[in-house]
Amino acid sequence: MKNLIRQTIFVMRKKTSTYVIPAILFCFAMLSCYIEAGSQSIETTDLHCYFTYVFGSCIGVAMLLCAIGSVLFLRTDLNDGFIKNIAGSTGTKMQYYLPKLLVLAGYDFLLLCSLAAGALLGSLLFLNGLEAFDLPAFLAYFGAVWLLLTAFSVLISFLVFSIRSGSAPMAFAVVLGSGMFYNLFYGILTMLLAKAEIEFDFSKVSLTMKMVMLDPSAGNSAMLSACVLAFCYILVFGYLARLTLVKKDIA
Amino acid sequence: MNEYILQTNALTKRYGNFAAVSNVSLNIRKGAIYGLVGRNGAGKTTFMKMICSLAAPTQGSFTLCGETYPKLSGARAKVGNLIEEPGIYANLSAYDNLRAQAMLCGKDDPAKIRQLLEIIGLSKAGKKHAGKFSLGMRQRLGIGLALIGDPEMLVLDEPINGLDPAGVAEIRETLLHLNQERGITVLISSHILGELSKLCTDYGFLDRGELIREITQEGLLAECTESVRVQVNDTGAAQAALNRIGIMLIKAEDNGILRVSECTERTDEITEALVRSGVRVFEIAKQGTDLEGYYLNMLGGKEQAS
Repeated sequence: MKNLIRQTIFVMRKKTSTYVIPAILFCFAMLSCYIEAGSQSIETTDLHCYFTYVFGSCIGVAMLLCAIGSVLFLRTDLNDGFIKNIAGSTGTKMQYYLPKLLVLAGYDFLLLCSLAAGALLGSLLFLNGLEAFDLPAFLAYFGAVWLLLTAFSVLISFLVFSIRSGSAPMAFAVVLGSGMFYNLFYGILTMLLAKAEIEFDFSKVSLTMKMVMLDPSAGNSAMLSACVLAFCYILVFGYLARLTLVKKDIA
Repeated sequence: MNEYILQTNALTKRYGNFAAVSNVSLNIRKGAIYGLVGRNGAGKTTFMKMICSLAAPTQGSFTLCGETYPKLSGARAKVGNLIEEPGIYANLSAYDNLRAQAMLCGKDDPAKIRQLLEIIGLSKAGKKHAGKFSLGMRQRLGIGLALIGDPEMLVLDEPINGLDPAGVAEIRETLLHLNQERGITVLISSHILGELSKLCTDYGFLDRGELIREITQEGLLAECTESVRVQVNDTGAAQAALNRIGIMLIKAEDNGILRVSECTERTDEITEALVRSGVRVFEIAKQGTDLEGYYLNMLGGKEQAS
């Protein structure tokens, strides 16, 4: 497992997308700060810190870029056929999958760090810096979002391993990451349930909506419920992805 | 100590109702170069994929490097493979591809990687991305990847596909060197049967997923030995006539055919002896066959190895 983690990081370091995607997120966060400074949509006296506010408002973009990055990362071995060499060297499919997930979680962390760095630099340059910044609350929020993003990557891994085509998982990932899936699928479900006079708030169980709607200043219980949801997704889709890998022969 | 590095027992792979490999039981000796021969769709690649843990057998089992499927954790590290297209990262150089594989094997040694680049003839490829390599370079890199972990066995599926004659000769020399100097066992498939016959010590013939014949190089040579085929009106009289001139290795076949397996250069004497004895000779011809001829004869001689 250690060997595969080293190898995965080595290959990842050589990929252009590894650097381009966090760079885009960094620039986007800075641009958001610049736009925010122009529009002044929130009061400086508000409890929200600009840095935290911009960080939270860019999570949707981070999710979309995470979806693209995860597909590119997970498809590397499949596209180039290197998985044949890896499979010959690893004992079980789980020994292949687990290191990939760990590295992907690390990559998600890197994405959030680049977002935080962009938001921080932007706040310092264009806004009021770290005024009213609550570090413990931000760290709790950062941790919860990281877990949700990792769960999202696990969901993407299931898509990548179950669909042989190269482009379809990317299309699905973009639809999921952009929130289109939620609007379409859960929108239709809500309408159908409404006809049966049943009310259910799907945003509570939707990973993508949870990520976007999680308030940085929400209390511990909101962060805890986000973490529980993320764990559920990791367990269910991690199991399904593993099952798909075990069942399928390597092409 | 087991003299076989690979033993399969009724190994079977089915896709739905289609049996890609059916009840294949074969044995590969340590140090052998085993040629797997068969037309497209015969099951060669599927068989090799099962050995290399790329496909799960539907039935049967196999023992590889002393470990029995599915518990092959130690054996996997002892087998290098090149199945179908070489699996290489297109955005990495040959050196980096080898390094990535070396990391997997826990043998990340830059000096050894450079030495391997020399062996496979890619030391001058520099930083060129493998995605821009020619087919021959890709094949050589694929063989390099299979070799990086110091394997005891190499599984090579069509490794000389797309190579020019010089490239084919280089690969042949490399494989022979690895086999003779390092004792690496090789399981190889190729459509170029002439090339296989220059390499292999043993052969297995697959057809429609089934192993139809296993033969050693010696056995093959014996079966492919040159002979004189004579068609006469009286095989008994013909045999007696040939015995009188000292030719004893004669085999009578159907339709008045005799197969003479010695003194094959003396066709003039054979004809004269038969005619003097009053035997009518309808046809006389020298016959000999190579691996390809043997294979085609075995399949009925109607279909060509594709």
